[in-house]
Amino acid sequence: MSKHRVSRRQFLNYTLTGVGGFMAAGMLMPMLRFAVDPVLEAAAGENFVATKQKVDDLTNKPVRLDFSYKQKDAWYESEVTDTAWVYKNDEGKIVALSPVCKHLGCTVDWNTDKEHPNQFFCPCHFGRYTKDGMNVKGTPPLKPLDMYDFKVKDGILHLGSAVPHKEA
Amino acid sequence: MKLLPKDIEMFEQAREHIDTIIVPLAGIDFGTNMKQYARMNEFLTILASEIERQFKGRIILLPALSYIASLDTESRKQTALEWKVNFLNEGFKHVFFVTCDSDWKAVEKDFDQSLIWVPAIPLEGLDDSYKRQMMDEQVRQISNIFSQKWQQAK
Repeated sequence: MSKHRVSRRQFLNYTLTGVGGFMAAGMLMPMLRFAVDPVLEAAAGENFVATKQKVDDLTNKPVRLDFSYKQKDAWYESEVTDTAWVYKNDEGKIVALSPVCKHLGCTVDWNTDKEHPNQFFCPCHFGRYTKDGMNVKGTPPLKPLDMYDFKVKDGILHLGSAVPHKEA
Repeated sequence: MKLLPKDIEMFEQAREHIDTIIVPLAGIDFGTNMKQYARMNEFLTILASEIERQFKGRIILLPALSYIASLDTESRKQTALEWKVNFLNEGFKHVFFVTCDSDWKAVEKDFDQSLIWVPAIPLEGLDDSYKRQMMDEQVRQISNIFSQKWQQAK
């Protein structure tokens, strides 16, 4: 027992190193966290908004999905509601289309034109899109419908921002 | 589209596609019906902006034509009809007035089917999703009126 006596000098050394170490760590940790933060942020990506749609309930028939999020516009914060047409295509992949007509920005509807069933139809200038969102030649729109970025989390569909159609 | 600089830029580029004007008719009252008119106003504002969202590329939604509800109906009717004539002269093919105020029903025939009266449903205390669903239903019905008119004119 007496062989391992800790001298006063050793004791002070140990405690000072220990306390100093904690102090240094306390200063460095937040700095490190700030430095790493942008990387983590990028990994989280853009904002996805949860919808009420369960992925398992989706069929090959497009359903209208409303989802809302907060938008700040100068001094006015408002709740914006966007709509998406969502379905599973023949390969079972989820397709989320923006309902905004590429002609002049009206809202397209699914399967409302009796002469052209199973197409997206714009009531304003009779523009049409096939189910995959491609514009029908000879109708006013010149571009296919935008698509939403999406991801699935806990079986619930989350929608991101609208991007130009990928097959265009 | 609305009367906003951004939308008007689009309008100038695609003028031949935009042939319809929508004017909300909003009453103002500070008497016993104050709350009732406020309710109509809330409903009408939401309804009009939803219609605008649906038909953005073919209609222009104007600021509401407001009037004092207790004053006589003749002068406001004249104003509305003057607006209509003016817009038709500007080259627009359709002018629709949308209102929740039942006073207008009495003069409906002077408007030649361009007056759309919708009863205001109280929105206070309603669940958000239910509210939205109800509005969609209303917009859908009004859409039919527009579609019919547009089909006729085609």
